[in-house]
Amino acid sequence: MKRNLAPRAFTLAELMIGMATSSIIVGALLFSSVGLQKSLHASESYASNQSDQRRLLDCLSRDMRRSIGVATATTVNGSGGVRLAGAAVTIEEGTSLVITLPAYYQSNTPADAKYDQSLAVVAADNYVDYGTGTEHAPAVPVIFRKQYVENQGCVCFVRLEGDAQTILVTHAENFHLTVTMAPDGRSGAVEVNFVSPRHGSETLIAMRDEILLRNNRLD
Amino acid sequence: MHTRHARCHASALILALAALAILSLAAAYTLRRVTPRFQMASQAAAWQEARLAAESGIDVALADLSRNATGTQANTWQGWQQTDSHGKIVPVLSGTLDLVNSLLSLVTGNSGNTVRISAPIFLDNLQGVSPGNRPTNVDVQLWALYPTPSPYYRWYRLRAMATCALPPTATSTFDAFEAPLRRFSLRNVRPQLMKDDVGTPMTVPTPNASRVIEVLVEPVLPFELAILTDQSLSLGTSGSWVVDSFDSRDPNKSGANGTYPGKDSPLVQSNGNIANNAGRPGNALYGPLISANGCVVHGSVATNGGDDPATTEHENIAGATRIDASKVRDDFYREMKPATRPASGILLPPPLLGLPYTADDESQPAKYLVPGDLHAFSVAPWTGKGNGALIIMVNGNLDVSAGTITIPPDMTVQIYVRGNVDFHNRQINQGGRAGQLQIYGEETNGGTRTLRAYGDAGITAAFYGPQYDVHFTDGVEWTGAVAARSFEMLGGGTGGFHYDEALGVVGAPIAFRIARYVEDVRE
Repeated sequence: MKRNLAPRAFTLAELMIGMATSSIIVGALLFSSVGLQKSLHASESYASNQSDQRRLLDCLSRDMRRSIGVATATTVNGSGGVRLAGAAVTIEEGTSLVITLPAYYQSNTPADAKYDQSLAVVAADNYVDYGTGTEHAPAVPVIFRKQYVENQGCVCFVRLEGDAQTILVTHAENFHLTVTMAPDGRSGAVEVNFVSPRHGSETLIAMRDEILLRNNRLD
Repeated sequence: MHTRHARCHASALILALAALAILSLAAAYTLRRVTPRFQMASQAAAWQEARLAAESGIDVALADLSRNATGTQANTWQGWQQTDSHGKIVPVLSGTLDLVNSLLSLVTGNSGNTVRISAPIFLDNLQGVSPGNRPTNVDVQLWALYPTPSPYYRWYRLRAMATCALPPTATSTFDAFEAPLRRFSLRNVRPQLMKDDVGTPMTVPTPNASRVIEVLVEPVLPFELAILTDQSLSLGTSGSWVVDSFDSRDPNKSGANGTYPGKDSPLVQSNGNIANNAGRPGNALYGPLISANGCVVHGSVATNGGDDPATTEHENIAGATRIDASKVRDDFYREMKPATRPASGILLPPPLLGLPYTADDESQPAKYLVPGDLHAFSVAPWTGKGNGALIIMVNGNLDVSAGTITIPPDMTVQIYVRGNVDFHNRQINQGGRAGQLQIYGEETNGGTRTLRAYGDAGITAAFYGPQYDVHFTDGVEWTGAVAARSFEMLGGGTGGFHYDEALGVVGAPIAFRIARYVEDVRE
């Protein structure tokens, strides 16, 4: 009875079957784990890119909504802009979008204490607007551009206002921003597409916003 | 045997638990990274909803302004408050624009520039629930702006701050690039926002998103167009009648002393814009809404629909052979409400024995009440500083069958009339400027009222009467502007209608519109 209860080694067949079964189980686990990781990574990538798109879209929409001019330019400082109406433009390869905002702040230098202080309302020619003394203040150009940013080490979408540069999206190589203005120039559509580098030119995520300009265009 | 079986079970369990643990860790790690990204979508939605709420606050204020633009309306200005001289918050005392404006005028101080600014009145803690079921709060402030000494030419500054709650889990912004754009209040409300949280502090819990919209509101003035009608518009039938413009303020765009320079003068301008509000019936959407009758119009010609986009012709204008096709539009509509005579102030009786009316400073115009008809009258020259102003309220007709009306320089006369206006074939305010003689036809309560002139009448004036029908015959020459229910010029000879561009900034407001929209993104 005691001999029967003593531990006994596995037979070769048992071992082979056991190893095969274990391999299948571990393999399945590994396979599903990698698959799950890929899927979750893709999900994270999707969410990340989508939030980047949304931020770019929201920032541009906010500025267009309050703008008094919309133009495209190929110069660094946005000068020599061409009024955008009844046309579409893609912000790529040196083409910038120049949005003209009505003057509202006393300073456009972020370090200035008056950076967040609004101008007074003044009247000139029976028209009331923001300004100083008896003169309306000049409008403020804001430039949206896709460019390489040294300290980020990648291509970014940036917003330039006065002395301030704001990075909106990093690693923007695969983001494509298109602005289309209606013929009367009073409304427009902004579209941001994310094209996956792994899927050729296929657009993976497309976001679009339609904007009615609240101010009369003065450009 | 029992022992051996137990060992096998334990190994399987450990293996299974280990596998589950690995998978769970992987899933948890990824979910931890992904979930905030999706929460950002929720945060962005709240940020958008805050803007919509702020704009709705502006709309509420604009609605009250517009409803009261031409006179007192019931059930408006509900809920507005102000801070009294003791710093106590009290309801605005009146439900009428006139009194609100009077009140604002009383507390007006000089802001250090040319615009006088009132103390604010405000709407406190308008509550709402956003589509995402988040509590939302809106505060709106309103200031009256007076860019000129006239109490009638008033602008407004509106500022609305809306705060919308974020999901309670959002206690940090998950992306550093989000913060400069959204500027959420995550644990405490930013101190800079306190000045816009007027009245009782808001109760929206943190984390939340606040956005501040500010607009400058300008008056829609009654004489911004040469001819504006609500129902029908028919130009001179003589074939050589003309609508054009000049600017009495500018010597390069007017004749001697700011008068019309003459039909063939190079100083004549092309801003004689005309428009008709009437639309087409539903079963015939395209067709004429203005009868141009072959007249020349130096300005835009606008209707409320009627032009078929599928054709190159302008079906909305009949007889448009001499009208610049590029200036024809069909996207026009402007609400026209009858003007209401000023309700406050001391009313003087009309001068006796044909003595002249006497004006007062334009910041406090002299007001007269004529219980019957008003005929030709004269006005004493203005000897005070600046400009003089005079308001005559006529319960009967304005009928000038003999004599004339002449307005001395530096003076404005506003006539509010309840009856008909008939200038017969007289010369009215010749040599003066149209803005000096403003005539407002009041509410007719369904009755028919007319403005009439004939023969070789020459009239320099501005008329606003949305319920009046205007009939001119023969060679009437009108310099100024007309806004009426209908306009008809029979004949016209070689004369015309000459709009004075200076009228674009005079007159009592008939509505209000946004002139400047900004979002305070740095507060």
